[in-house]
Amino acid sequence: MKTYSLTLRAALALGLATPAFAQVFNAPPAAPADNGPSNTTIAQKEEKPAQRNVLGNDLPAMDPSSEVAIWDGKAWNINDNRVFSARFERYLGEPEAKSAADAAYISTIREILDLLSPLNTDRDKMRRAVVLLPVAAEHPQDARLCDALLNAIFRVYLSKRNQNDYDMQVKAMKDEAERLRWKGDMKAEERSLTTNPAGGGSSSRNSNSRRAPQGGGGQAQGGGAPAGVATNSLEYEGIVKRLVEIEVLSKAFDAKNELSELKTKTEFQLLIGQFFMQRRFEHTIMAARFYNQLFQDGQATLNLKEDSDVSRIFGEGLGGSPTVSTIDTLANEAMSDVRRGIETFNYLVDRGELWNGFRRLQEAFAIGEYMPEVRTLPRDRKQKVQDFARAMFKLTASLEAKDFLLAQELIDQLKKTATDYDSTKFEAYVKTNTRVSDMHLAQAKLLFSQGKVDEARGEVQKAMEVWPTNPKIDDAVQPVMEQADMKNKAVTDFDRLINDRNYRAIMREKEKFGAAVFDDEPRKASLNQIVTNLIKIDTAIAQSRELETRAVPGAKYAAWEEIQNLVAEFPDDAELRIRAEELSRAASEFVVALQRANDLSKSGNTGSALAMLMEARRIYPDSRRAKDAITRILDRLLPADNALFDESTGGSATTSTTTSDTLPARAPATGRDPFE
Amino acid sequence: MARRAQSSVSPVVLLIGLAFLAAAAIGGFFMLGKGSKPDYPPLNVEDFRKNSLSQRGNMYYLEGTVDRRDRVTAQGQIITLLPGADGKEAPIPVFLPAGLKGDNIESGYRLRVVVEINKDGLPEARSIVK
Repeated sequence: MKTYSLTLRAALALGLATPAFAQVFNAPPAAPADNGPSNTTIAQKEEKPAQRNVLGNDLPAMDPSSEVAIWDGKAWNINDNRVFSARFERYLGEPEAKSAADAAYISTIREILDLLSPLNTDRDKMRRAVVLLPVAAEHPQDARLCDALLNAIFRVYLSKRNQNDYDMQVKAMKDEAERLRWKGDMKAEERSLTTNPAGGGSSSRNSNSRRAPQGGGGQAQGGGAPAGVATNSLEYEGIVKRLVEIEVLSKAFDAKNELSELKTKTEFQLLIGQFFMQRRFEHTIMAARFYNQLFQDGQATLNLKEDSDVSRIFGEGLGGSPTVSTIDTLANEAMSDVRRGIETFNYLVDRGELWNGFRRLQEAFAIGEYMPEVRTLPRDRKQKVQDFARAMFKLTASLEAKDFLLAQELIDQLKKTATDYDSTKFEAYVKTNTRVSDMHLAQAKLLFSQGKVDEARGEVQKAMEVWPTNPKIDDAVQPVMEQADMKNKAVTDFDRLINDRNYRAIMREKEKFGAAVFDDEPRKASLNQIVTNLIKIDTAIAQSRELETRAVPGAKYAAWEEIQNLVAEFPDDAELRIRAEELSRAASEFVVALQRANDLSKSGNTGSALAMLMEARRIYPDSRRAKDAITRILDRLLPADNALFDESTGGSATTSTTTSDTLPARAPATGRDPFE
Repeated sequence: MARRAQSSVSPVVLLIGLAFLAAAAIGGFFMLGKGSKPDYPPLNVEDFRKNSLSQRGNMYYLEGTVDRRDRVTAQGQIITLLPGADGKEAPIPVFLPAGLKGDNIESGYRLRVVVEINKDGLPEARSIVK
């Protein structure tokens, strides 16, 4: 009985997802509905034959204990199936079938079933039931299935009428054969007017008449009838040939007749199987009982193609090929199961056990979606589990999408909604995956901190595979992203600051830029140069400040001169320029003298320039700039190579020739910068 | 009683005479002690510092204290002179050619020279005034 039930559930699972266009049998190639009148038994197929069903054409294997079906290479739970979920959710929101049309349809189907009941002894029950089929087919909820059944019955009638024709033709052939035999016998008895008396005699005639049908060679062997007479006549030969033809035709006609009957039965069986797979159990029972009435062989084995999907289902469950009566029983069992499921649902809902009620209704719907008990279930009762069902379907969808945050929220919501809800498996699944993902992220952070970026990325990838929406992923990925962004930004900033000659800004963030360009040799060299030079400038500025504070005569001039040397080297440095300006204000008298000397020298006014340089030297006697400039002017006016005394060299006298004859001509003074 | 006889020279006249004699003595002292100035205008130091080229070819009388000898060659020497009586004016350069016998000039020496502003705008001594 258990095997029987499993087979039933497996078969129903197939029909669940393939309500209207399932692959019922592996029918022969000539079977499709649009190939001719011989296939009109499945005329209700509205879809194109080549169209695949939603989940593929492969037949599933069903494990009823876990509600898991193996289909198209994938394992799925009937609770998770999107198509089923959508249908079931729609069903929960639909009003019950309580219209007059619904009631009339249910009543008609019920009446047909009652008429076809084995307990009904009415001799006219067949005709009365057939008459009701078009009535039922008019209702949209029938999906013209009763029409298809009526067509199948009609084809059986046609087939039976052909049988009568066959009988008449067989009788005609037999009559003709008998007539020909008699005629042949008569012909064989024929005597020639020129017959040899020696060969005559009744005994020989009788002998010829017996042999004639067997080939007519007796006369020739015995020196019998002459040509054209008796068995040697063309007429006799024609009679024999015709008898052989009739024999052959008769055999062929018998074979054709047997084939036609088998085909009619097979087509009817196909229709029964299709109704069953479509979970149209009432139609299944109707068709099976019509079959029994029409063929009187209900215990005959169904002609299922060997190794076909349906054959495997029934074969594995029953251990053999099913009969029409088997399917009848299976359909009755399914209907009973659905009725019990609905009763249980009502009971559980009344007790407030929504979780179990939901499951029982789901099972009942999966099996008996088209049964009156399911269709007439009041909407207010269905609505009691509707919210729960929505949350359940959302939960399964969120688990499929690995959105574990949403899943946990839904689990909590379901626990509040239904006190009998068992969330253990779901919660375990959510927690396991979230923890695995978190562990990968923790490992990724550790690897990041150790600078093992590639390995860290691998860990992040694993964490994302387990839980794509893990909010902690952003935290883990952010350092990598920021690191890359920071480096790119730092390099861009570095180039921009170089273009802007804003070396101070680079100096202020030299560590950041150093990290960004550590593997970029040209930029690294630039950074080193900038840092080195700015350290030099800053040191000089600091020294100038320190020098300025000293209570030493000429300190401010000394500081100014130090800074001026760097200003010439680094004219773009703002801080250096600011410091130079500060010192220029402090040493303005000295600076003005030097500046005027410079201007005068450039205009060729050597005397005045020299006077201003002497003034600068008077202000700051240790001025290197003033001394150097004076020396350069003196070198032009009185070249030093034959100087007897040179203040610019510290007052030492040269020992060059003193005779005027050897003195070189005085170099012409030209407008030049004495500070060059 | 006998009447005293009055003096024959008035004291006022005597004082005026004494003042005249004193002034003559002082003037003679200076005239005889310093020697006579050459007949050249004194060099305007401020003008010289601003633009000596504008004074090119002119002869001036220049007096001041030698601050330092900047360079001495066989052709002559360039010194730093602090013009003015007290030597507190801004320094100016003076070229003393070798023929003027200025070899013994030292820092702090009081120098009176007649100079010509040469083509470089440099005062070039033409004679040393004793």
